[in-house]
Amino acid sequence: MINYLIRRLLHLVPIILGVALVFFLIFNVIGGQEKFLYNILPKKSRTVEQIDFYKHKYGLDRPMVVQYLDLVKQMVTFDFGRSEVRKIPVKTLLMRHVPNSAKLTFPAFFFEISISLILASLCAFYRGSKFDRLITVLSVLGMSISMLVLILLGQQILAYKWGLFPISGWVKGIGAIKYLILPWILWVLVSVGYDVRFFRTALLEESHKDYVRTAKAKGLSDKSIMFKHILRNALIPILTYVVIQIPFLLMGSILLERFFSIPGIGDLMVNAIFNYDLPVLKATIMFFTLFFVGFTLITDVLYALVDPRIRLS
Amino acid sequence: MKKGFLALMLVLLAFSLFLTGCKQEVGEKVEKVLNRYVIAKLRPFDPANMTDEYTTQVFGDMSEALFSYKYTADTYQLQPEIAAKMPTVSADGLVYTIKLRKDAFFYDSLGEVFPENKGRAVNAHDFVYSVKRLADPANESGGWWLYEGFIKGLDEWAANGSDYSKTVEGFKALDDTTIQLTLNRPYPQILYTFTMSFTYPIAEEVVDFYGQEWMNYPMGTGAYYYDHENSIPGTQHVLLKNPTWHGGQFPAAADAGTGVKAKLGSEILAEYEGKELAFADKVIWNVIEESSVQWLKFMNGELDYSTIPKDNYETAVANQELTDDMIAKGITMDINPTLDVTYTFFNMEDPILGTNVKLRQAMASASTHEDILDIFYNGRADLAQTLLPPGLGGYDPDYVNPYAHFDLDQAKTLLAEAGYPGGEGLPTFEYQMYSSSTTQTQMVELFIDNMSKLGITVEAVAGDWPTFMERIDDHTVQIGGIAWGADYPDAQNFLQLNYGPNKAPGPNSANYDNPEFNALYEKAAFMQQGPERDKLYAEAAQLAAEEVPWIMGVHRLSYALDYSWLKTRVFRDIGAGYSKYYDVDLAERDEVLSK
Repeated sequence: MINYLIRRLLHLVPIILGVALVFFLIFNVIGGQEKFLYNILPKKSRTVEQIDFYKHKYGLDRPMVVQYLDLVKQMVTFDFGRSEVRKIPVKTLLMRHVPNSAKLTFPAFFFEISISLILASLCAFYRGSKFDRLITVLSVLGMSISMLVLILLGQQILAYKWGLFPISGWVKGIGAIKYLILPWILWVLVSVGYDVRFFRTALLEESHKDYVRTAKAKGLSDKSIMFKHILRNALIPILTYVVIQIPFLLMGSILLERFFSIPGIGDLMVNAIFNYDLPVLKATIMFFTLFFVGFTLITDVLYALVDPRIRLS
Repeated sequence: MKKGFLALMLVLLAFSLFLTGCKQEVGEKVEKVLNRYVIAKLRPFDPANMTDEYTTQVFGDMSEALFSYKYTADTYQLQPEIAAKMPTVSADGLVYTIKLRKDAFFYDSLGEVFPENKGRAVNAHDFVYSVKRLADPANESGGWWLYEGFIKGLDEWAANGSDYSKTVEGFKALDDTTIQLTLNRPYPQILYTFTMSFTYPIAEEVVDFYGQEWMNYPMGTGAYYYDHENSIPGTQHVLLKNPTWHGGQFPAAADAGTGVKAKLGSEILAEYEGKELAFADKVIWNVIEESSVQWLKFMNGELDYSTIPKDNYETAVANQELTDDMIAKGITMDINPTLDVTYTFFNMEDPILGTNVKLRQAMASASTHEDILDIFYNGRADLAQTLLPPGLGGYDPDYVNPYAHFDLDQAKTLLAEAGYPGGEGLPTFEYQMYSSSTTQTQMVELFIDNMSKLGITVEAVAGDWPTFMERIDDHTVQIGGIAWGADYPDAQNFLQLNYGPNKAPGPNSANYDNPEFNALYEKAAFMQQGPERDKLYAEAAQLAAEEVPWIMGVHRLSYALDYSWLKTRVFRDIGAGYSKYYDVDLAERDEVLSK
């Protein structure tokens, strides 16, 4: 296990180099330099001399290799300096924004997975029943509606017309919950369809295995087979599916953050792109990369814990 | 289990209702809150780089400039703000002496820089420091263009290391309350620049105390101060009444312009005359980036006023009148011209477009100006005849540009006279786009379609804003579309867009260079305000209009909706710090919302 972990951690080296290279190609080679400069210099004050001045100031006149190595160093040390726009340390900005995104996405994700798992189990248990068919239809319907449409409808009907929730907003502390309930509900609605379908399929697939037939032959009850055996064995694909989604949670909230004025990391990244705030952009990309690598590692480890047949070595 | 799901939703709903339903305790002081909004996130509060309208508006409530615009005048007239009175100007128009008031204090709500909150009085040295910051290359100022080359010794000071201990001959403090400004050449517009956010005074102690992050700690002398505890950058900026503000009164009814009288009504003007400002205890600037959310919040009474998003226009307005639903909610509509112009420019250095005036006139005549007005602005604009919008000296309401309306027959005739009958012999032209947004795409497609009816082929070139700007600066954009908004209410600010020496990377994106126009501009721009100058402005504007370096677009109109409880809002296209004039009637707000 330890060898495996070390090996996986070593994989971080080419990953960071690769991420740095892609970022560098996009922002430093293909045209980012000029765009960056044109954006920090308002048109009315732009001159060739000023552009040269800033190129020098930001080190954009150095050889490409030096600029690339500088980027790699920043990514390895996670020291991206200060935001070009706000002049606040990038780490401080991340620490301000990440918890807000987490408040939005993690509870919603937890609710959604729980609800999906329960509904999928019931669908699998009562396969072919009216309930199963109804949930299947609703799931497909849910999958067909985009998040944007749901947001617009949610804000228009639930918040504005019925006055059940605030339309948008945010406050510091516990009071933020009232602004989160509608985004949570929308998150659940938009995701539950996909997950119910996937979990149901995983459970049904498991129910066709030989050991289930054997258990039935031995006279075990359907409930016992479903909840003690099938559910447990179906956990492997379900767990993989669930854990692998976690790194995307922070990214997946961009639309919700924008429409509900939630100061999260997705919003931070979008604004960094609009403002060509390269230090913030680099940091958010690196943050997501590490988050992703970390959770794929956790998935693999959990695999082994759930299914002793899997050996990490 | 479905019941479980429903139960969970009900619990969440109940919790939400509980939280949203929390009311103010009996006996608690009712705050007068003004609910405003901006449609983009704010940039840092650094006056030297306050290039966007939204940050300027919010910071303008907290800070003050030497001068401001009279709130109830129809035209933009200057009045002293931190200046004690209007300046004295030497006979040659080169030396300005400005006296400051002594009761304007920097308010430090955190008490970190100036203990006990009340900071020191703003003085002439603060203004000198702030103007030097604009010139200092280290500050990357977006406002330096206002003064570059104009103030005696300032360019040299910047070029020689920006040593703040050294005096700049042309901008110095004679004593704590007197500024002396000396110009290299007459620049009558300079007083307008002293209303702009670029010139808001900054206390050097604040910069020293907070270091690089100082621009996140706005501190000014204005009617409001920044509430750090309740503000959430990116979501809302909360401002509270500044207890140390020097004060001010609502203008006299007799000073109100005709348009303002029509908007506010004589009763309101009389009622508010001489009343102490500021009216609201708290100003909340909501950051709302989505127009659908802006609209819903307005309709829900969470904003006191709103512009009308394009998608909601038909809900609110029918036949240029408010719908009954809107009127029933106590909403009124306020239509005002804005000081801007949209245009499509030709690169005048292009060997074909730049040398053939008939060709440009033909293309301008083939543009469906009236359709553009309807399709893209819902009719909420005026067709531009020259580059000067209404309200500026030099604007001639009777002038009709022969190439600023759709006339396909005229276009065909002009094209034949240009030597390209039916477009024969012309190459394919390129229209450089600056975004892939739906509106920009539709506008360019309409232009291409219009030109095709004339037999001219135009291709769209995809691009984003930086690419667009970069290509303008390289003089490689053949045709492009852009807009300009006034920095200050003087025609010179628009005419400079056609002034030869201002070719790209200056603001003259068309690279238009007509000696006759340049001579008129040079003569008029440095004259003091008056009818003679306005005549020259008009002449220059009409000359350029008929040479067609631009196909004229529109001057946009601002359509805003106010709730009846918002008593004293007047539309101002430029300037800032107007929240102190806005009053809200809380009882009326409650009454309207309860319905």
